[in-house]
Amino acid sequence: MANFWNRLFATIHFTAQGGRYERFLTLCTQQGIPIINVQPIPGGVCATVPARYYKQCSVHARRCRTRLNVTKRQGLWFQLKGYHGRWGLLLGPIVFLVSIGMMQQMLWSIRYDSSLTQPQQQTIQQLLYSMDIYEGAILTQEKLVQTEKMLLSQTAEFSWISLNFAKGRLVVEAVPAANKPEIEGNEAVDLVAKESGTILEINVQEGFAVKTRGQTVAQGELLISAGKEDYSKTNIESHAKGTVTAQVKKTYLCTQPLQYTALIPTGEIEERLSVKIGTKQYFLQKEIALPQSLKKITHKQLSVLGFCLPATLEEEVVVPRVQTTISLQPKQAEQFAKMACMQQFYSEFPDAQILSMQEESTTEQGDLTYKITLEFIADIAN
Amino acid sequence: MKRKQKKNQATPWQEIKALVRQPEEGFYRQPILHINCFGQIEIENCKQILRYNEQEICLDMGLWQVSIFGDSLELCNANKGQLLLTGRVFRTEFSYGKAE
Repeated sequence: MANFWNRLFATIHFTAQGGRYERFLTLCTQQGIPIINVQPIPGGVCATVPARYYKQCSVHARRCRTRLNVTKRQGLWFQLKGYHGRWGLLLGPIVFLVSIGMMQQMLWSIRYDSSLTQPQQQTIQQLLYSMDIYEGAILTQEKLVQTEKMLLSQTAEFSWISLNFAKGRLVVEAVPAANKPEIEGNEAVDLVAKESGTILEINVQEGFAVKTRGQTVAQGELLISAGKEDYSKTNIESHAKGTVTAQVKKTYLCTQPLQYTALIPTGEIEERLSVKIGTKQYFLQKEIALPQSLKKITHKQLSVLGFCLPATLEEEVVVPRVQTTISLQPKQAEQFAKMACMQQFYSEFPDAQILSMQEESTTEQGDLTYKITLEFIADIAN
Repeated sequence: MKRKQKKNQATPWQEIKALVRQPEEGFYRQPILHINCFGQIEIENCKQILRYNEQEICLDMGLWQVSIFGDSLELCNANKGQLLLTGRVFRTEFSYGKAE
């Protein structure tokens, strides 16, 4: 311990030779200069004195015609001599430590429970960003509690979400919600035909069949009834359920202009970076004012050599678009129209089995009219 | 007899006063020499160091001069009014200075 203090404080080892060095020692002691380890050497003494007293010693030495010679300088002051006047080097680490201490209420990093999958983590991350919780934001307990409630109300994907914030780290724990079984309605509803056709097969699970196989039905006609009167004319109600497979013939019509205007990306991509710290956002580039452009914002944790910083790097990708007139060949237009028709068909009858199709297209005044007649087998009960 | 005893007996106030009395003037400035037989000599209120080398140190103690002869004599600490000397002491000489 004593060695540590000796190294910490600046001391000077010197030799005093020649003249009246005994008088020099007397004067030093009389003036209260704490000289230690005084050892006689030929023609004088060697001693150790705190560096701050050395100037006084030299004054006394001059009076006694004694020559002082410094043999060794010891202590932290001399070791840091190269840094004298460079106070920034000392202040830098101090300011750094103080600022880190002050930034404990800031969010430094977000970690997710290992049980959460990557898509679930991304879902929570997006929700957190939308609620102004990002790396660099200042968090309070009230805000966290409020965010937990909002997360649970905004997403049905999770049954429980917990946000634990300690020492700058936010740990997100969540339990995915179990899949809810679909509960069928029990109200008495009739099943009617959503398209005209010839019935091929009827499979009634609940209710009372009104039509039989081979019958032709029109759109909106009753197929399976939900109620029936018994012998005492009391209506027996049930939830109609079943499938009615029928052969249907339907025509779809689509008009596709051969020339139309659309917003097309120019092929350029503009990027705008900004850093979000606390409640402030610092833009590193000028604002990109491009109307009719696509914008996409991505957030990244700002880190240096893998060390997370309490800041978020926001990247705004802007894809400029221009109004362009597009001319289509009749064949291309026909393909577009066919695709639109088939999309409509499969949205109406997802399980349809196509038996035959007839296509017809005519071009009039710059528009292509596409007509497709489909003959298919599908469930028409609705 | 009883009256004589009363005359010599100090009053309580005098006793308290005697307990907290200050020593004589200059008591703490008297030159003192403590010799520890383990080789450590403590000198208080030495006037000046007259000679100092590897074999001898001669100190002016006011009325007396003290010469200490020995080997590896080292002044461990030289503070205001106090010197701490270590080393192997062989001989000590006392001589009268100015007063004689």
